[in-house]
Amino acid sequence: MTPIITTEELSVTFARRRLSDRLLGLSPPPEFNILDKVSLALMPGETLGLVGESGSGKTTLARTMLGLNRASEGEIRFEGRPVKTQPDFRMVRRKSAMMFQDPVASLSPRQKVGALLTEPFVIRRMAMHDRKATAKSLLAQVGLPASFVERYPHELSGGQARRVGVARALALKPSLLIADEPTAGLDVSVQGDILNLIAELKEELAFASMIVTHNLAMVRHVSDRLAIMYLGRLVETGPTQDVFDAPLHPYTASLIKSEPVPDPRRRRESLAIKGEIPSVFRRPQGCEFHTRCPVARELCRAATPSYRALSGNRTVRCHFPLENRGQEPEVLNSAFANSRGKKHDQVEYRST
Amino acid sequence: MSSVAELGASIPDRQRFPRLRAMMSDPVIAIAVLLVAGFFITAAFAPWIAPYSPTKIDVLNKLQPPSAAHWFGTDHLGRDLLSRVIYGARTALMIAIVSVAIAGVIGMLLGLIAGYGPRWLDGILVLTFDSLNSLPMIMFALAIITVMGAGTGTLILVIAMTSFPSYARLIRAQTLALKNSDYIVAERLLDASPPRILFVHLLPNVIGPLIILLSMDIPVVIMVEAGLSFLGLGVRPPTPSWGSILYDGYTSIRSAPYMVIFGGLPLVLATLGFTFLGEGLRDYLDPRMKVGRPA
Repeated sequence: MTPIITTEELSVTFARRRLSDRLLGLSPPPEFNILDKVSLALMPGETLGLVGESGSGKTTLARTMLGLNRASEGEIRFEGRPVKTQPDFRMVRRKSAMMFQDPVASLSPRQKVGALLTEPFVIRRMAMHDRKATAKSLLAQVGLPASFVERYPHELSGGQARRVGVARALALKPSLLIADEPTAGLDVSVQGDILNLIAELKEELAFASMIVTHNLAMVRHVSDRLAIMYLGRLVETGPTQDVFDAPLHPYTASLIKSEPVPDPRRRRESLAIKGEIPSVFRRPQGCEFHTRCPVARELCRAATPSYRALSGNRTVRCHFPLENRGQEPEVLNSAFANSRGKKHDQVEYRST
Repeated sequence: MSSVAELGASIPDRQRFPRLRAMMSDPVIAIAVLLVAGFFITAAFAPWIAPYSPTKIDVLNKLQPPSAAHWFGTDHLGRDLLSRVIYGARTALMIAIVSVAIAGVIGMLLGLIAGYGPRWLDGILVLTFDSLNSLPMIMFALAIITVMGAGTGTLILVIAMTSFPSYARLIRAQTLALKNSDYIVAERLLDASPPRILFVHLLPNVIGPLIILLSMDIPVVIMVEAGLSFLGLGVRPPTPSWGSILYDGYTSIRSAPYMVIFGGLPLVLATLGFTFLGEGLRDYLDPRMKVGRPA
């Protein structure tokens, strides 16, 4: 089966040009990798959870896939065909849809819901017998009353606006849905409704989806496969259940550990992850996670680990993946305990 | 303050336009609306309202003080001053509205293009706006009038040329602020054409401040027209203009001061009316910009 969309070693760099560089033109401006060689494939009908902290490049990846950012290296393939030129991306965008974080802000404020819902048909010149009827059937599909066609976005609640967003995204029956934090800013009960709605529509319309989020609890329930990003690089991919049961990369392990558990008696062992995510402008040498990694060794400081495929459809970028299933919690716990007193200012940085 | 307005906006049909009502309940703004409406009616129905022809010369009755026959008196050529003031409203409003409208449309289009278009185009346009803005208006007017000759058309051209850059910069700034907002990116993902994005999605969200600025510039333009006409550089002599009435009055200010008074009064009232109306509109269209005055 050909994947819906694949990225092969996709990089997005941007040059930070200082005024002096521009005026003097002495040296080529330093370049920074926002995304660094990200290879990812999304199969038809699959739900992929793309997880990472703020600044890990997950939104950039989503935007680059749809041609909103220019990739500096690597290749995107959509349904097996390479996507290079603007017309190629237009084809990709025709068959895909993206939902943004803020549900209200992604609706044009002076347009009525009816106009917003039928706009995709108008722009793509798709047949639509009756504007009103089309808008109303789309509203019904997402469980909103037909009277909403006359509303303006600011008259909608966050959950209602998100439903309109879903209806708009799925209006043209895309084969790929990219959802950037689909539940951000919604009440927990509404979050559940929205996720169920997306799941139902997915059954019906059979699209592949990529959910970009940092909400592990949510992604655990909705995604088939996980891809974890750190500083613009993929650190681990694998089936959701396997990754949660036995994370291979220490970063994944710490993310899962720092997830709050609804059990008042359970004490939180040390806060698993320490410090801030480093800046891409000062990418740590060697393995970029070693500055915060509880199990970092000499090798991690010196050499960048390569991306390795392991059994069970899993990949990891780590010199010392946490492999031993049974033993894992103890090893990790003691490692975290040891790392608590470690000083972080001895870390070496490289400026590019 | 804005929460009240938003609450009002989300209750359809119960009380329509609550902010408009609040605006009209302010006596200053209500008076301003009446003044402006009065000027528009006067200008539109000038031939029916004016008792005499504004250009009919009657030298025997020159420099008459106000009387039953000539409410505002007559000027140095015996023309009825009231009729000239009434027709002057026509000239003033016509020039102000046409030139502000032309400048507004040019400014809006160029501002949208500069804000949304490629960077190099933005650079060129901003440079153009800044160079035009750096020209002193009166000097520029003198230069253009020297080349093209005085007249209504020249006046409109000069005013439009000197005022569109500030409108364009306003629209450009608004457009820049919105061009990367989620809903515009969403439209780009739908491959909406640039005209569609500009006119359907950006324009309604950037035009509010422009309308306020335009309405507040109308009195400025009325003043400029009067000023240039006073200097003899505006509308040509037989056409009545408040500025030329003032000039005619200025030469005989000792013997017939009522000419300056009646020529100046409508200018003052029009300026005040439009300025207050502009402020009221600003409060109505953009509650965030309101400073001090309670709703």
